[in-house]
Amino acid sequence: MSSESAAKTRLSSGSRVFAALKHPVVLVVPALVVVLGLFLYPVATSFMQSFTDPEPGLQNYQWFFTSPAAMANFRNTFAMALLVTVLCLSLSYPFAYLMVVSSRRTRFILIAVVLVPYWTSVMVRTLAWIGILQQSGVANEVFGWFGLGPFELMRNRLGVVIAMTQILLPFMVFPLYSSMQSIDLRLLTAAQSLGASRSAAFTRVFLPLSAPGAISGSVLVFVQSLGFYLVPSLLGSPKEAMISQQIYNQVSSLLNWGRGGAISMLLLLATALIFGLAALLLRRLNRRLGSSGR
Amino acid sequence: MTSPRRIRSAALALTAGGLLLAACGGGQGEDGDSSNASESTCVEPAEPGAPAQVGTVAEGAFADSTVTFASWGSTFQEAQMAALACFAETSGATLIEDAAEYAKVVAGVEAGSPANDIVNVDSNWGIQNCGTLFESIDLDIVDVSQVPDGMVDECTVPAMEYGYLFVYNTEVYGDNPPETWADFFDTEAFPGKRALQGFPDQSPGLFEAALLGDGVSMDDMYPIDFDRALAKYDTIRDDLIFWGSGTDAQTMMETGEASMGLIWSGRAASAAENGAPIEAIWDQSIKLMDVLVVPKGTPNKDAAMAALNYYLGEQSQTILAEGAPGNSPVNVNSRPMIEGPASGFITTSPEAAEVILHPDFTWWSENSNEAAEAFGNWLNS
Repeated sequence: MSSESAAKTRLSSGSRVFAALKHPVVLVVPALVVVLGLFLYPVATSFMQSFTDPEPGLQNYQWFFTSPAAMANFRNTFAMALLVTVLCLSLSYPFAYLMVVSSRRTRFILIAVVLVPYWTSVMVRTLAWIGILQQSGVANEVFGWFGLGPFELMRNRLGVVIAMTQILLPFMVFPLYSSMQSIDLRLLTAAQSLGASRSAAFTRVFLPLSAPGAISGSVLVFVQSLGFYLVPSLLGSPKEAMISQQIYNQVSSLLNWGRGGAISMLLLLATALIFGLAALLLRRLNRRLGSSGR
Repeated sequence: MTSPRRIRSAALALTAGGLLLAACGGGQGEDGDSSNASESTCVEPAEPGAPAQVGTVAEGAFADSTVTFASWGSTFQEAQMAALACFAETSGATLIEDAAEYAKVVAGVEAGSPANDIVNVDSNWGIQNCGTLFESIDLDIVDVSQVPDGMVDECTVPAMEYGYLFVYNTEVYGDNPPETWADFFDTEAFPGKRALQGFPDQSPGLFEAALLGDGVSMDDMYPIDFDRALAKYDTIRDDLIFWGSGTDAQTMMETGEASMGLIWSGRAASAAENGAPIEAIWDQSIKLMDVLVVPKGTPNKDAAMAALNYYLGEQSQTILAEGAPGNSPVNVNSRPMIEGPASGFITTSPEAAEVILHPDFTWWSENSNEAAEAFGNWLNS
């Protein structure tokens, strides 16, 4: 019947729209628009400016590679980021292991201990650290009870490292935890039954299996510490500035947009390299380890 | 099982605790309210069409306009907004506050739509970019007859006058206080940490202070020898602590972290009002001035000029100086009543006016970029 076939065509065109909407690419379009418009466009502008401001050429990059202050700043930032990553890893590993082996209730408390600060604004946490670490702050007062101090815990790298480690801990704990959680603990018992001591079982079975989590967490922490602005500017000394502060100075106070852009691009490049290396490493590890006994 | 109930009650406790903390934290009021308000009503409105008269505006003249005023925030900007409150009331314009940022101004002018109508900037940056970034002051609207000599330029009117002061803690130095800039650099006779600006900017003061401490006379100051000044700071490098913002500087003097400091007079006055036992040395302290500019291309140009005209009036300047202790008015007839600790930090007081150093703003407008870069490099070294 013609009305029936007409209804069928109407239905099929409606379902064709539905089908189109279900296509994965269409669902990505809104997010893509946001990323392209609000992120890629400004980054591209900054990139162009690093080559054209104040005049076309490579002089901004030349300035960076020949300026001892700029290079030292870059190096120091990477060194600090590495230090923070190592500290985070050493603190998070036992913590994540504890989370794995403890009861549900204890695990809940441990998760809360990590998550609640994470949900607090970074600004609030940094100001709290100022209150603790400053000359007349809580830490020095406690040291005073034992006749020690007062120590300079702020306006130097020490304060920055302490605060950054605390703020970035969740980014290390959770990847580690999720990686450790998927390790079958019976593997350890199996190793022991084959003659391994408890520590050997740990180092030769558990540790390698948790490596992917450690690498993911380390990359997250490292890359974020490279870009930290608030903590170094509030807790650190202005003369031990990190890259982000240098970019801010160049762009905002000195109005050297080209130079600021050049530093930003180099930072982006360094970050991309690190991500790439980590991805390669993870892939090789996963191939070697196979399934983690799930 | 009590487990879900336990979780719920724990969550409730956490939320209640969080709300309580937030309520406690939000109740801070203004501190150091210098309540010497000299008026409660605004100046009589001007006749429409009459020639410009400083400190007045015609009633309802800008009822459909908005004027966005960008400045450095905190007590200072609050006082500036209070000084302009009557302008908004009389003319009907809507006054909006914003934070001043040079990069934002440049970006806005280059894009053809500046975000601010009036910006409070360093004097040399204002002078330097006249014509390229800023509109010329429209003297048909802005009456500058009551502004002290030498403070008005083609594109700038003064925002207020303040100083870069050498302050010291009277409790630390008791009977043997420092007296000259050379004492700032003498860590043997006057031990203690010194607070110094820790970021490069376009404002005079830092280099002049070092050169004065090195024995250069006020007449031989310009052109400034950057290397000599920075070498002088290097001699006390270990005793320097750097402040990253005005608030930082104020905190350092209040908590006693620094026994001496090179800080802005406004911050010194606020620290003194908060109880810090500090005093300023006026001999050879450095006079500074911020200026107000109108970015090029703003659609509210006439309203902005009228606001500048109002701002320079006697009443507005008195409100400004009384609301922001440590800053001096830029109207020759203004007589703010400042009492208490802050009165020791006014740059236009008689004892200061004789001995203060007036920076060469013209030289600075040509060399401020170089100065900022030299200081930035020294900081990072």
